[in-house]
Amino acid sequence: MLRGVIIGQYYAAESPIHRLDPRTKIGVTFVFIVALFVAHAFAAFAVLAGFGWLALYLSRVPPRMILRGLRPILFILAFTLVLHVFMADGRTWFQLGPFTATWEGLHQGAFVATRLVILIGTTSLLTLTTSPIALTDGLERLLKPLSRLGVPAHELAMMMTIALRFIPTLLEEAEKVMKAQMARGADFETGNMLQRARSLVPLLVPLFVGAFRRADELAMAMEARCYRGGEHRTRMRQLRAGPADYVTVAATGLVAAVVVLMRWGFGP
Amino acid sequence: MAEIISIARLFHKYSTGEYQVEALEGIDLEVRAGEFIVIIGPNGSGKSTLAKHLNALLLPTSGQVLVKGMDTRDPARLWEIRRTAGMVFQNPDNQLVATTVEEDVAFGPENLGVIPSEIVARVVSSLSAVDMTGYQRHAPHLLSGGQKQRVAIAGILAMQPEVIVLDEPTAMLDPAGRAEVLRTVRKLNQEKGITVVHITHYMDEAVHADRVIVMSEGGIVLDGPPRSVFAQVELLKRCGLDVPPVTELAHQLRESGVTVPQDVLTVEELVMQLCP
Amino acid sequence: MPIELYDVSYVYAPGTPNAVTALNAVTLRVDDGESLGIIGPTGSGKSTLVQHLNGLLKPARGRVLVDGEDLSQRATNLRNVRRKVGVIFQYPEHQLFEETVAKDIAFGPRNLGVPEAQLQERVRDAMAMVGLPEQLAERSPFELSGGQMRRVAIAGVLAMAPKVLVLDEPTAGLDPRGRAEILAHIRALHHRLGLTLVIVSHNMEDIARMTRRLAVMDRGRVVMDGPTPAVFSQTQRLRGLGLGTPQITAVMEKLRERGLAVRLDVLTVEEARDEIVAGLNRGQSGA
Repeated sequence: MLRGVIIGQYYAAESPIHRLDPRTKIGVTFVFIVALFVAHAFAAFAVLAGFGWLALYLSRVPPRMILRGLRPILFILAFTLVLHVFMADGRTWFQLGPFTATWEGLHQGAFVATRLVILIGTTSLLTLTTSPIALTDGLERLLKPLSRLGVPAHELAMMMTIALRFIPTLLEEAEKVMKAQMARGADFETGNMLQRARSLVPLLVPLFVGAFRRADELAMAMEARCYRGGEHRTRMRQLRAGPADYVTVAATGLVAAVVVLMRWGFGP
Repeated sequence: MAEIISIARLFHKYSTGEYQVEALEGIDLEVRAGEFIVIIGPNGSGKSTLAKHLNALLLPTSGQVLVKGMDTRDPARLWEIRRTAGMVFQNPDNQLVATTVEEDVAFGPENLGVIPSEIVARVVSSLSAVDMTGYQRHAPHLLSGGQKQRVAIAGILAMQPEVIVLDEPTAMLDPAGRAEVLRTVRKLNQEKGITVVHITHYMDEAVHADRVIVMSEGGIVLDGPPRSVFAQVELLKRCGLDVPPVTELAHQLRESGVTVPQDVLTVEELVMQLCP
Repeated sequence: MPIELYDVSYVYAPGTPNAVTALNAVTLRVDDGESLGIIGPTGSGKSTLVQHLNGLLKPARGRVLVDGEDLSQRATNLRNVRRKVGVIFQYPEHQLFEETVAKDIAFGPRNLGVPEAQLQERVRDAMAMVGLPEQLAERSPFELSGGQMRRVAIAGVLAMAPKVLVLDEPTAGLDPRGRAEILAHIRALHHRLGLTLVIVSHNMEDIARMTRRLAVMDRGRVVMDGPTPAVFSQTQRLRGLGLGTPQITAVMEKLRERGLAVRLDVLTVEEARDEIVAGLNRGQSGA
């Protein structure tokens, strides 16, 4: 039942994109997203999508992996499109009962949906090509300069690591508890919303109790291994940016500049 | 051999709300460097509480615990004590921190501020010492129970300890996993001279120890080589412990008039006695 | 009320590269009032088999009949099957969730539609069966000791008044005293109330003490099935599967190798003592 759930899945492969410094990938993805929201024409989207496609090609991740990542948001995409088509003012496209579909709505809807597709596609490329550890590592180091301002960079990264470590364990536990309660005649599958919500109590209480027990034991095990927060701590893995990283950053900067120019550069 | 751990008049009280539980009542214990000690005792006998004192996870209510001469109540020596006496816990799932084996083994030395190149070397040698070479990139949740416990042991080894305290590390494992962990621990004791304090309620795990300590109700009731401890069949049973079936059989044969010695520990010994 | 498995196969993640055949054409019959042990190395399919006994898993091929009802038929009421076949998983104390012991034990029977008026009685009976003192009924299960929590969880299944009790590693993680207590209560349920027992365990001493018939699993198949002493006496074959034997059986085997005429199908310390004494006497009179 819960086996299908995969969070932050990683596609192990050897590729220039996989080898990039995680800091580069996180930073570049961030700039890319900003550019995506700056873009206000399909032409700009085409530039960004082309750049994303090149990255996908270089990463050797099969495009169907990206498509699979899009499947859960298909409903949201369709909903966004329909909402825009019927809500926007403009030239009538067709009439459906009391609702009027407009050409402007279609344009807006398609625009928002395209942005969403590019957004999900590129961010999943980030998680597909960067292992969870590299990701937390990169994040911690990017945030480090901010720790002087009180941003708990190390703590955030540690929490993310532990969450990633324990998600599969907790899913397994959930399945076990569910089976045990089903053996006691519990029913998780039928009934109305309220009944279903109530039927979750025998599942959720043991899960929370178990999670707290685990947290307690893990905290003790960490202390026993001399954990005392981020200070004095070294890391086994050293991050090192190389020529490929500089090229990537430069290329992304260029693309972002083009998008910005397309919006503001050619105006009157 | 020099004492690496010495405990004098150790008392420990837990207070939860109104209740006060006397978990340890005046423990005196000396552990010599290089020894392999097994502590057995029923649940609630205080063996786990005692283990946590060896690593300064708990501090004495009264009395004193010295690890390599360092007093566990001295906050300045806390990290040095924890590094010297590493600890492995019962639940293999709840002591691995990271998402890959190598990151997890690196966790201890990273906390100690060891330089990166040295951490890499320690990870390699620790994994090889527990026969887990080749599993560096594996995710802990996909390993068997015995493999997880060996990774946990590697995580302790990477801190280069002199003592390893294992708090019921085999309680949740299948027989194959138990055998793997025991073999690993015995090897570390014999080849690297690491002092081992192994806590269990499986009597058969005590057979190969240098010394067996039996705890009951917060105190030490027996302390000696396995042979002399297991000869006390009646006393062990009164403490709520079993003896290995073969020792029990030898005991019963003696009572039926067959001449077998008091201190039979293994199947082979009994057979050699009966059919020389 | 027999449980019958005919040619049952089960595959995890079918149709993917990770597909694992957990059960492979298993045929097994559990009769009324039996005590059956199931042993096998980790990953041999024991847990998968257990989940077929009460319809938590449906066979990919083959049929499972409980009391003559085919569990794969849509018309079969699985709740009714789960009432008859009580399954207690490993570390069952992890499934406790109610505020009080009594409420938690009542969860199963309430799901089965037992009228409120009878629930109290069910709870009281179930607590007595596992030796839990009555005054614990209103306590929170989370305040109890590990051994007591496990007994609450077992009582929670007993309160459904099953005919068959299936236990997966009932003594895992308990100390010797806790282990002996749980086993004594389970034995009483079998002997006094006539419950059919199916016990899955890695602990050969427990299996030797609790079961009269023993099935051995390996790679999804039942490879041995017979009276417990007879199966354990095949020490070589068991060792080949990576399984141990009770220590007593090992003693008898070695004695025979060294020429003492003793039986191999001996499981308890008392039997072994008598057999060895008799064997030694025979040896002396023969010499």
